[in-house]
Amino acid sequence: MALAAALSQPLITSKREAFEALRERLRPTAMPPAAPLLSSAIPGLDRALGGGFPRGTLATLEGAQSSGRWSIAARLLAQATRRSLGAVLDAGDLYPPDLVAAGVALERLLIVSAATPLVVARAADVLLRSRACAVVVLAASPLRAAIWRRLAGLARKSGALLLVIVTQSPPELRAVAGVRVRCERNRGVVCLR
Amino acid sequence: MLAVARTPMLLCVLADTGDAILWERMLDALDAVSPLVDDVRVGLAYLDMRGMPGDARRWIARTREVLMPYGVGVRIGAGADKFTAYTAVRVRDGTICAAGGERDFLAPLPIDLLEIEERPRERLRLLGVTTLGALARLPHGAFVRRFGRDAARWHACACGEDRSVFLPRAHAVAIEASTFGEGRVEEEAQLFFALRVVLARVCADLERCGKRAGALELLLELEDGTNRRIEIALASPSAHEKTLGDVVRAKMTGGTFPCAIVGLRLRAVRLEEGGETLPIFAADDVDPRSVAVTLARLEAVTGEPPRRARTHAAHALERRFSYESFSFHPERGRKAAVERPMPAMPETPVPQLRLLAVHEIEVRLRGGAPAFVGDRAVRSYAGPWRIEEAWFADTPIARDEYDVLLDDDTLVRIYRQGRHWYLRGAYD
Repeated sequence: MALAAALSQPLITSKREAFEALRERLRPTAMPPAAPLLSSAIPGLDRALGGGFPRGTLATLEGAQSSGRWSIAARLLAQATRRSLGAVLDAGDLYPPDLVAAGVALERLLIVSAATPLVVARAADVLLRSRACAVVVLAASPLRAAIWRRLAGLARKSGALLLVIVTQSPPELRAVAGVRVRCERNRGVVCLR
Repeated sequence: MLAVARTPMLLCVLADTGDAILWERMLDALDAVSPLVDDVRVGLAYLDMRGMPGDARRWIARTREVLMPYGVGVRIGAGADKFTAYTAVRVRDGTICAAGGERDFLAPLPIDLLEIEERPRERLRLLGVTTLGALARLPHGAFVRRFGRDAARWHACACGEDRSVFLPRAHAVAIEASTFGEGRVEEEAQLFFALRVVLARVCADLERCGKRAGALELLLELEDGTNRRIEIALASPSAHEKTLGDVVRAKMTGGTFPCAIVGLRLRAVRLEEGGETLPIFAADDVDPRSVAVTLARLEAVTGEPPRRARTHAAHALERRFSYESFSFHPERGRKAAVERPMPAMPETPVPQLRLLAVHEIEVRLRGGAPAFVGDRAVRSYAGPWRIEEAWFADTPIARDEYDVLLDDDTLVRIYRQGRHWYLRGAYD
C-alpha cells in the first residue's frame, strides 16, 4: 500500500523540485501565509479600511505636513519588517531613530536614495518586481499616468503594498489608487476609497 | 587553532580601510611575511612571526613594504600577545613591546584600551582605577567575582597575559574562470553570453568546493590593451548560477566601453562555507537570492548601493544614525532576532521627524521662549534641549533645540545656535 502510494508520486528530477516537494510536505508546520490585509495597528483606521490596507495595492496617504502621514507609514513598515522586508525611497529627509521608535526593524528596511522622478519610478519598479518587499513607501513624484498604472499593476502582481505619500493626489494617481486615505491635522483620517 | 606562547612575537596590522575586497588582497600579500595570519576583521590582522628570520624591526619594515602598493594607511606594532601588539599599534605606529616587558609597557596606559562597556568602566573610574597598571594590581579573584566573567580577560590583558586564541586564516582557494582569444565582443548580448559561459564554470567549481561567493571580481580586457576591473558585491553569499547571473547582468546593464572586449576573467572572492538558506518554514519569509538580485538592480538604477540605517546614542540629531550597505544574511538575522528581539510596536503612532535642508529662519521671542516662527504664531513648545559638545567632538556643536507647534498645527524642530535660528525638520 505504502509502496503503491510512493510509486504514485511524481519523480523528482531536480534540486528545485526536491525543495518544492519538501516545502509542500512541511507546509502544515510552517508559519501561516501572510494575511491579505496589512494592519496599521490603528483600530479606527483599520476598521474604516475593513481590517487594514490590502496587499497588492497602490495606496495613497494624503495630507499636509504634520498631518501624520509618515506616522501611519512607519506603522505599516513596522508590521512589514516583522516577517519580511520593507523599502523606503528616500529623498534625504528620513530620520531613522523615529522609525525605530515606531517599531521598525531597521535591519529589514531597505533605504534607497532616489532624488529624481525617473529614479523613483525605476527603483520602485525594481522593488515591486523583486517580490522581496511587503511594503514600499515613496513620497509622490510627478510621474506620468502610464508609470503610475505600471507601478499599480506591479504591486498587484507582487502582492506588495505600494504606499505613496502626497499632499494631494493628482488625477493620474487618483485613477490607479486602490485605497486613498486623507490625513487631517487634529481631525484624524478620512478614507476616500 | 593554536595558542600563542609568550615569547614569540606577534605583529598587529591596523589598516585604514573598510573595503573587504581590498582587505582580502592585502591579506594575500601578508602571506609573504608570515604563513600564519589571523584575520580578525576588515582592517585588523595579526601575524605570528615564530621561526621567521630577523627581528621585530625588520618584520615591520617588510610588512610595510608588501602593503605599500595598496595605498592604504597602515599602522603596525609588535608584542608577545594580541592585546599587547594591538596596544603597541594604538600607542604609536611602529611600537615594539619586547617580550617580558609587557606589564611595564601597559601600566601607564588608560583602561579605555580594553574596550570595557560604559557602566563597568565608570565603576572602575569611581574606584580610582584608570590605568592598566592599577587594574593589574587588583586581586584577581575578588575583581572577577565583583565584575563578572569578562573581568578575567581584562585582568589578564592588563597583566600582559592575553590568552586570546590565534586563528590562522585558511589557505585561500582560488575559484576563477576566463576566456581569452576567442573573438571580440562588441554587443551586449555577446558579452552576456560569454559571461554566462564563464559563470557556469565558476559556479560548478564553487559547488565542487562546497563554497559560496560573497563577491565576484570581473576583469575585462579591452582591445586597446587596457583592463577594466569590476567588483560585484553580493548582499548574501551564493553559489546559485541564476542568482549570480542576474546580479552580474544587473551590474553590467547600461555600462559602456570605449572599444571591443577581447577577454574576460571572473573570480569568486570572499568565499564562505557552502549551503544555501532557503525559506521553507516561513511562507512569506525573504528569499535571499531575490534580495541579492534586487540590490544589484537597484544599484544599477540609482548609481549607489541600497543602504540600511543604524542608530547610535549621541547628542546631536544628525549623529544619532548612520547608513551602511544593505546586506542580508537570513541565518544571522534569525540568530540576531533570538538574541535581540524586534523593537516593540508602540500603542499609538509615533510622529516621524522629516529632516529638511537646514536653513535660517526668523524667530521672535517672548519671555525668552519662541513666540513667532516667521509669521506663524507659536501655540506651544517643548524645550529647550541643550546640546553642547566640547573637546570630545571634531566639530563641536552648541545649540538649543525646540519642538514648536505653530498656529496652523504644523509641528517643527527648530534650534538656536549663537544668535541665529534654524529650521531642522518637520514632524509628520
